[in-house]
Amino acid sequence: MDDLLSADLAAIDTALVECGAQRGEGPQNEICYDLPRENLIEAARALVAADVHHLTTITGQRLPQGVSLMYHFYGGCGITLRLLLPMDDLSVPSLTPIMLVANWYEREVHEMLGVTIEGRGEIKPLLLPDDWQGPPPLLNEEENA
Amino acid sequence: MTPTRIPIGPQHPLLKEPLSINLSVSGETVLGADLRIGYVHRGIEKLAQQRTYIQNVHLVERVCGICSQAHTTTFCLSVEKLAGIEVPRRAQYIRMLLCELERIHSHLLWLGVLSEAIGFTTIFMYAWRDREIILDLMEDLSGGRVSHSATSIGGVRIDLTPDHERYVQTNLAEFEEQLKLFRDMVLHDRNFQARTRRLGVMGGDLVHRLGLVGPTARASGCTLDIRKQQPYLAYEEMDFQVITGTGGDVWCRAHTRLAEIDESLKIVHQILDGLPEGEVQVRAPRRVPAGEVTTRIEAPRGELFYYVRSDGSDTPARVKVRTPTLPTLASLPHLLSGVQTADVAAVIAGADLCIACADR
Repeated sequence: MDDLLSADLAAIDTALVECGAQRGEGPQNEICYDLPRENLIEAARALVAADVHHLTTITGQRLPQGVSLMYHFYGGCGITLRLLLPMDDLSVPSLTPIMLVANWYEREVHEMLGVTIEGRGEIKPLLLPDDWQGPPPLLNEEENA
Repeated sequence: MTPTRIPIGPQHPLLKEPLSINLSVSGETVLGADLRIGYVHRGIEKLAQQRTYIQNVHLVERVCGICSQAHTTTFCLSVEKLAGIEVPRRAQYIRMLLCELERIHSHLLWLGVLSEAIGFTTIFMYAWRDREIILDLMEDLSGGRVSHSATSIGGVRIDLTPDHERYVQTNLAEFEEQLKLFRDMVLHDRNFQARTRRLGVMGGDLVHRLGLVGPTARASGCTLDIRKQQPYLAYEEMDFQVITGTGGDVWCRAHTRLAEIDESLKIVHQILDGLPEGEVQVRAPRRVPAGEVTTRIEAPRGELFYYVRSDGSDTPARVKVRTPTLPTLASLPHLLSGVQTADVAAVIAGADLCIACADR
């Protein structure tokens, strides 16, 4: 587990750029990369190969231009992979086959923002009641659109 | 043989918080488990988008009734970074003092819950009795046993007087004396060892894959401790060890936590000896400049993560909270698989769960 804390940032940067990711302006304290969702699995594999296994969480939020998903990794410092999903196609490939820890975070993103997680079949609710009928609670279109 | 399903919860005598566990057993052996959480989901992330920053300090304090100080500290650190506020050193020390006292009482609470689950009621009684010493200290300092409301954006709203310092020193001496009993019990009691050794073993590889954090992960050899790797407050000035174990079983988790209490006490003494003079609060603006920030701290159960985005108003546009219990809960089916039904309670209690934290 020690290797998790001494990840080689330059090597990670090269690997992520090769996966089609671009350094972007992200949250303070994080090194942030923007990438198309098609490249998410490849980028996550590159991080795992560089001994950055620790996915802290996935932050999803409604922005005027769509839904943003941030995959917050930790390898001695915060490394974030950021996707922007258009409102007419809220879907993203599942990371659970690569890292088990993504399982519950993907369930939360699915129920709170209505994002379809490809390759997982039916997803059971995590926090919301089984008989929840309303729209995804964090997809508040009137407030953010 | 067709597996038998045993539903436990959501209300059950083992934990005071609601959690539904569907065990699949064959004879006395657990084959697997399905979990259902969300019974105390309060929608705190959504609520936070409808409250001002000042109100949110008190809202996030109510995510958890055990590590409330960790939540307010993380939220305030996030907002202060966005607003560019330099918090006085004395306030950082007082925050750190409360965080470490919280770690001590959280670990003792856990030891009590585990002891009760394995039928060692005496230790449960003693652990919870002595936890009161720490809770009394926190009440004396802040006015609250559980929700301290001590941290505010820009500093803390309490200050330590010489009387407080004397009270803390005297009570800690009494507490340290009591700790010997727990250390002796974990290290030498045959019954405690028989019920916890080689139980609920979590290897380093599984810790990696499940993203476990905190003392549960450190008992399996992981060295991740945010206080060391990404120091916040004034932890870089403190001399303490990151405690790790190798066994990864329930006994090792108990041993790790007790050793962490010793380290926390070391930090508390250093704080009291080196408490800087000066202000404890600077004025904070109601409106926070637009931007986004992430903050990680080491809560009693491990890495606590906040993401805060400001749109320049007095209300956050998004607050995301990831508590350390969430990955621990997700690991529970792996921990339970293969154990005997008589040990299920010890494994669940040994995981150190905080359901309110996970549900938010």
